[in-house]
Amino acid sequence: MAQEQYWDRIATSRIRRRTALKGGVIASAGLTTAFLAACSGSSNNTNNAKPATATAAATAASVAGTSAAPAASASAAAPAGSPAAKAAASVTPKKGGTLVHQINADPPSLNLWTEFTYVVNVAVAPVYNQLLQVDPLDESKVIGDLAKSWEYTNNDKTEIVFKLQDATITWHDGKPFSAEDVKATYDWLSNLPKGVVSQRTTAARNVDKVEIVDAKTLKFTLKKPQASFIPGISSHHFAMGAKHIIDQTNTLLDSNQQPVGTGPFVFKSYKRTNVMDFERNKSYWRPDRPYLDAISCFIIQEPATAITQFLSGQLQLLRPFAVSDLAQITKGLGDKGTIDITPSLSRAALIPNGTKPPFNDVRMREAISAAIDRDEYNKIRDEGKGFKGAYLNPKGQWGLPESELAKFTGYDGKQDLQKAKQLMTAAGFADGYKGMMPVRTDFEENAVALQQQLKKAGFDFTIQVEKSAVLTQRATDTQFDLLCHTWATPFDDPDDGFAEMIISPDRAGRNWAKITTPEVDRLFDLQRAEFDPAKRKLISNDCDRAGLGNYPNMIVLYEPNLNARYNFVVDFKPQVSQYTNQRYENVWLSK
Amino acid sequence: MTRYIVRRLLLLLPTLVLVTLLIFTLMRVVPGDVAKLIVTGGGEGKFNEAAYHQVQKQLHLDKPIVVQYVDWAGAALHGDFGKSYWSKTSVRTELGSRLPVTLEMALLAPLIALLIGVPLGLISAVRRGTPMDYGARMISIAGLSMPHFWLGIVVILILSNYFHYIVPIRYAEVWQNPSRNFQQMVWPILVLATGLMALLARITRSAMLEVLRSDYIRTARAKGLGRLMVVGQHGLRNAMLPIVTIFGAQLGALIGGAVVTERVFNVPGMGRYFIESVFVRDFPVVQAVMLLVAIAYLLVNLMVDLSYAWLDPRIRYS
Repeated sequence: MAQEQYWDRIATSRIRRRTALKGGVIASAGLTTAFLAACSGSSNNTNNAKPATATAAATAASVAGTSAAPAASASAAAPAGSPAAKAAASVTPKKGGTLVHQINADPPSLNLWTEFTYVVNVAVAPVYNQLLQVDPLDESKVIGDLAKSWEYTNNDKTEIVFKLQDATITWHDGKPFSAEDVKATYDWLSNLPKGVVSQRTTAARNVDKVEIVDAKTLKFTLKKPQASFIPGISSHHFAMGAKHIIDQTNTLLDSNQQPVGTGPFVFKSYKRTNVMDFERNKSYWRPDRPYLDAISCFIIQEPATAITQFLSGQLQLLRPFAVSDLAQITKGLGDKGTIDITPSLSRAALIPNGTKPPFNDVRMREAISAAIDRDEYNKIRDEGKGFKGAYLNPKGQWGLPESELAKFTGYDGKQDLQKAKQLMTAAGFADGYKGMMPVRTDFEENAVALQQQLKKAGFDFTIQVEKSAVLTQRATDTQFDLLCHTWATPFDDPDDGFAEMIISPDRAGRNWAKITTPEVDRLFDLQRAEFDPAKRKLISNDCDRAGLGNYPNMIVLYEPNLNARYNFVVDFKPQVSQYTNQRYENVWLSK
Repeated sequence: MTRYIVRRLLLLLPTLVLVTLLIFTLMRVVPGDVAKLIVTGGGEGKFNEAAYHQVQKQLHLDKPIVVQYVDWAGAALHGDFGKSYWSKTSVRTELGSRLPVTLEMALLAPLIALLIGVPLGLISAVRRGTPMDYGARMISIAGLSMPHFWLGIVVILILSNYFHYIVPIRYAEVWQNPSRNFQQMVWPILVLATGLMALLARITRSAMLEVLRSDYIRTARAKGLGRLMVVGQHGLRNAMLPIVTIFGAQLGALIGGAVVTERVFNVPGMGRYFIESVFVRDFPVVQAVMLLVAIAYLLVNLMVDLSYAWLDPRIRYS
């Protein structure tokens, strides 16, 4: 009830502000308005859609706390048996139409193998297939893609045999797909050319060799057993490359820097900073797919512009968007659409510099954690939609239970100033501490909120707002006292969660705090080789506890992931990871 | 006059060299290492020392800065601005597709500003103290006070909520689809013109008030010349010098405004490309855009200087 009143208040205050704003502008910009009136006659143009009428009906906001689970055993799960197929059995999907969605930045390039940012795979994934994929409608499952099945063939689970689909598969340039292409792809990914960086494909570096058994069978030999290998290679970053293109350009893209795949959509054109167009692959190997005729992916940086375009119906999907825009979108969408709120894998965090005083002292790090009011921060920054958690997704399969989490200083959500001051006194900082807190431009508001909380305990941090280029240099060179950052992992898996920032710096590479917890490293290796999910979870929880106890990286909050879509976009389900289910192969438009 | 123009054009060369040197040096001394940024996937990924040195080598950032400059300048003289460090695409090709968009905005916005701003200032000066003057001054103050990004968003909201009109999302070149190009470009151009229009209105008003108090205006009136002749021929022409000076000097501000306006209206122009490239230290792009902007700025200022002589016959350049 209290929450409903809170949302009512938010909505009411927004309308008042906006109404006042518009009224003021109409009064002052008479000249512009006159021009608008003159041009409004063009509203019969097909590009002009009437904006969504606000209705009183509340939009269904579904909270889904799901996670990707590793598929450790063989499964020949094909789309025929998947929830997608079951859904299709009850409602016949309609063919045709163009799906129009948006990304909020121009991709640096269209290379799924080398680019890090999610905007690349959100845009380009429809061009490709992988060997395996995460089930579009059930992210706890890994299902086949170009491989119809797979199985471990030795006891220590370092040999996997993949059987390729029986269908005749061709590349978009007409050349036939074969086992040679799989070998060429994984040879490239496991032995990157000099000077090439491929951040999202680290699972492939565990591949020792790939052998072609026959035209439809491949045998992978891993260097070490790795429970996360199968889910690890099911993301869009493991897009299948064509051998003839790799031979030509030594990368995934052709000589025109364009993507060529076997996927359901063919790359058509790219107008930088405006739009990317894809059209249906008429000779797609999977029968009756895709349903859509085309996809247009617009690049819209300004959130206000994207929201206006979405509410007017020019965009059919909007993601991700800020919590502060939720009320406006909910009201504007009415009962014509759905808003999904899932936990994201983005963690707002404070990262101490463990290479020098005072944060080489665990007591000072714990004092920081005690001084953070996580619940208050959640209200301020995420309007209560965020999630408290440790190093693994709290709503996922591997996360530490909340009761366990609350045992660590500050992670119960409440600020404990007395404990913070005691710890500071014990560490020799009874009079407080002054330091620098760099933050990237896009996270500045997080730093402001935390700065005020920390001040109450005697931490006086000066915020330094930096662009990405500068902040990266400072982070990798450990030129900070306390770094305010938001770090994300591509998958909800212990390998990713711990390997990003928590295991020792020489292994993690992004352990900017440069703090080593030997027990974390030991448990990390243990869980990595454990194929029983129940046992792996127990070890992962221990690893979480070992990490939390040393306070190398104070997780403030897991941010929510907000997605909005019109109800006529059917069979699209946002997943926790932004690196899976972006292919729209089963998506169809009901209108 | 011809000798003057030739001399000025020749002087452009050392100025351009100095500008490129300055940009080249500044981009390399400000904090932020592009190789590090690339290796870490934009700051979000893991850092690898060996890969970092490889990337430095690939981008020739391991060479001395003088060698880098000479290499770049030599290629630029042949019209080759290199490849983007990030997208690996040719900077010349990228600029080729964006330049028409920016040119459309950069040419039409000042033109609209001139066509509205100068008459507004003129009316305000001639009708000083009347409701027309107050109205014109209010419009110009409002125009100066409204930041481009705010005005842009407000325009989108007004169009959408009150006129049920949505600016087309897909950009079309003017020669491909003039109607859609007009629908998409008219709003950013108007928004971009607002600030300059307001400034020109105020400058015109103040310059005209000064001129209208002059003895020669009184003489012209005493001779029995018509109001149009007095204000247009004798008044406005003499008031044009500060207007033209301000107009030329505002080109830089216009480019700044274009960056914001392009973002709000989702227009794929050069401004956005430039700013994004600065953030990720994409040196080839930044250098090429700066070179183009410097050339444009210098040429506009040359034209402004030449127009002085036409506007005021007492000024001679020979």
